[in-house]
Amino acid sequence: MVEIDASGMDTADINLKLHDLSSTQESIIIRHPEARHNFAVGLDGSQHIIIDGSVGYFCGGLCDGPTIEVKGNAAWGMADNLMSGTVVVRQNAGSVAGIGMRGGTGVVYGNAGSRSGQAMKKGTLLIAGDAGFMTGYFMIGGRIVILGGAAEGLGECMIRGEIFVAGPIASLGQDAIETEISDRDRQWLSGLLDRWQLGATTFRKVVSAEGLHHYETYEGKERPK
Amino acid sequence: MSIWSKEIVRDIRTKAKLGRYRVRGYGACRAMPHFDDIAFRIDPKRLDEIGTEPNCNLHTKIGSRFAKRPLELDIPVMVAPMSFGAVSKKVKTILAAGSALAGTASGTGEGGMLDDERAAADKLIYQLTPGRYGFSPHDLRRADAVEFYMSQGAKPGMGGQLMGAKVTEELASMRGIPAGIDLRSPSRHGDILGADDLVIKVEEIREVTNWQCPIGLKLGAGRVREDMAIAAKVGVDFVSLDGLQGGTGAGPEIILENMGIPSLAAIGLAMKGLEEAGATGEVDVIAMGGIRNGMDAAKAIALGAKAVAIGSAALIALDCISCLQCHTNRCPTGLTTQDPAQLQRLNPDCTEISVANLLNSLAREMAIVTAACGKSDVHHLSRSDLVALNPDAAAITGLPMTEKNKEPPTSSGKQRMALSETV
Repeated sequence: MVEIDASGMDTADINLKLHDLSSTQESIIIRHPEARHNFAVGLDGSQHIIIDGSVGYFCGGLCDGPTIEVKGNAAWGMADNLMSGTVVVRQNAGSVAGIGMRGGTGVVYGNAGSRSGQAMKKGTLLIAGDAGFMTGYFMIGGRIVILGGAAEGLGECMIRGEIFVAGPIASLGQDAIETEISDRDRQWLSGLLDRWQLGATTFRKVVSAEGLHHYETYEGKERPK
Repeated sequence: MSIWSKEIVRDIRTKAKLGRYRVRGYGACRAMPHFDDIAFRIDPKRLDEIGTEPNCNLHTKIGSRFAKRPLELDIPVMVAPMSFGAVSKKVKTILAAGSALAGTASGTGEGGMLDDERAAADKLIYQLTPGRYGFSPHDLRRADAVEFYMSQGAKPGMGGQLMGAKVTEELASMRGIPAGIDLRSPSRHGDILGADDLVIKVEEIREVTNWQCPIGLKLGAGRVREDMAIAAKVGVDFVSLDGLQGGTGAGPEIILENMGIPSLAAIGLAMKGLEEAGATGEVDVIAMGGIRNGMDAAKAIALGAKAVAIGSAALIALDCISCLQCHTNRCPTGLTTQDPAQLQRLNPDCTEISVANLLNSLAREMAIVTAACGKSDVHHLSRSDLVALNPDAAAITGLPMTEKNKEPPTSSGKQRMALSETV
């Protein structure tokens, strides 16, 4: 186990150190994170990083490969633009968790703020608690799984992707519709929940109605051939 | 002249069938105050110092505020960002190669970084847009500078727009979207709802790029003074300031023609904003939106810009006929299309050499203007070298109309000045 005491260190120096440890087989634990922003961003490699406390904005953002576990809370934009790897938050996450994810897995054991999963392209965002309003806004792909309830405007203007919700849904967003859940979905959900030692049995599935994919009318040469 | 012109009547009839706003490419086409409305004047005291064009320094450094590796350009003219979508892959590569030949930079625009474009460009500015299409930390590290798209001059307040006809499988796969959809992108970054968020987001990009790259904001000219104060506060190195005359691959026509601040007015307001924020000279301004020649570019620099960028002009160098059909995938000169058949229309004589020649022509024109003003460095041009040619230009730039009458000459001009201050 490699131990880094963040107190008194610049965030840039910590990130450089994490970058240098990209091929280490040992776990890296960061003590005294002091809820600082931009911890463990832009990392490539297979590091397993444990942050012993809470973090600020964009923890684990723009990473490709590492596993990052935050023992406390995370502020806005955890795992933003994640390419691959895993970011786990043991308590709550702020707004836009997993914004622009292109792969990998984001897990929030508590609640997540509004617009989580915005503009996601791929990957999985698992929220064990409740999800804030307009979760899945402009989602393009990937899956969001919510074990608690979803606030208003779920899946607002989503283009593609799937949202599974175990709790109540306050309202669906524009162009989001509920659809039947398949056995294949159930099987996938069961595997996901087993992996993270979470449980829920009944889900509803929300997808795009695809009503915003095209203009209703075209002028002149605009229409696709 | 009647307000019910033939064009207006045709527009109404078209919309009666369409049931929505009309979309088109290119930029604003109507007349408005522009760089033609101001001119350089010779300072009689410097007549014996008339320089020579070959000795004029055009070297330009962008982003030395915080970046460890600022952009070093041979000339203060770049190629404006155009997305893979707005133009074809081949055209993007030609533009990048042309910029490299001229010793300057080009921009990726929205939708990610093409390998061919990266290889062809010497200096490449990578754009971070609200949709985050194709955005990757690996490309971020290959960039020479990074630009947060906040808005653009052609359609301030709006996100990117791409008609389904242009969303090919290849383009869709790069952006991570379904092929064939009429893409209307979000206009706001979900993780940047205000200046305080932006401070942290900028820092995130600095961390990922190891504080090497200059980082900037692309701003459609609107509330320019306030935006520049924010830019200074959030710690960016440069602002790409896009005036109302800026072009686009697709946008609602009424927005293209009517929203924003003309480039001529925007630069002065930007300087004022920086001055008010106590950041004069700290944040470099790259002016764009309707720059056509070296005289426009020199005037923009004299007004306070560090460099300029050309978009429409670069496409015209490649044979664009300004037919406004950029959004349809049926570009008659094969520039703004993704259709393989239509791409064959690209004029084989229009190459990266054409782009480089245009960039170098602008640079040489800037050099002769600088020399004629008795200066040896293009960055020594200043507002004191300029005069306004009419009351409107005087009102929106604050430039004097003549040596004797340094204030806008009419009360209506003063009122207009007051109005422009409140924009």
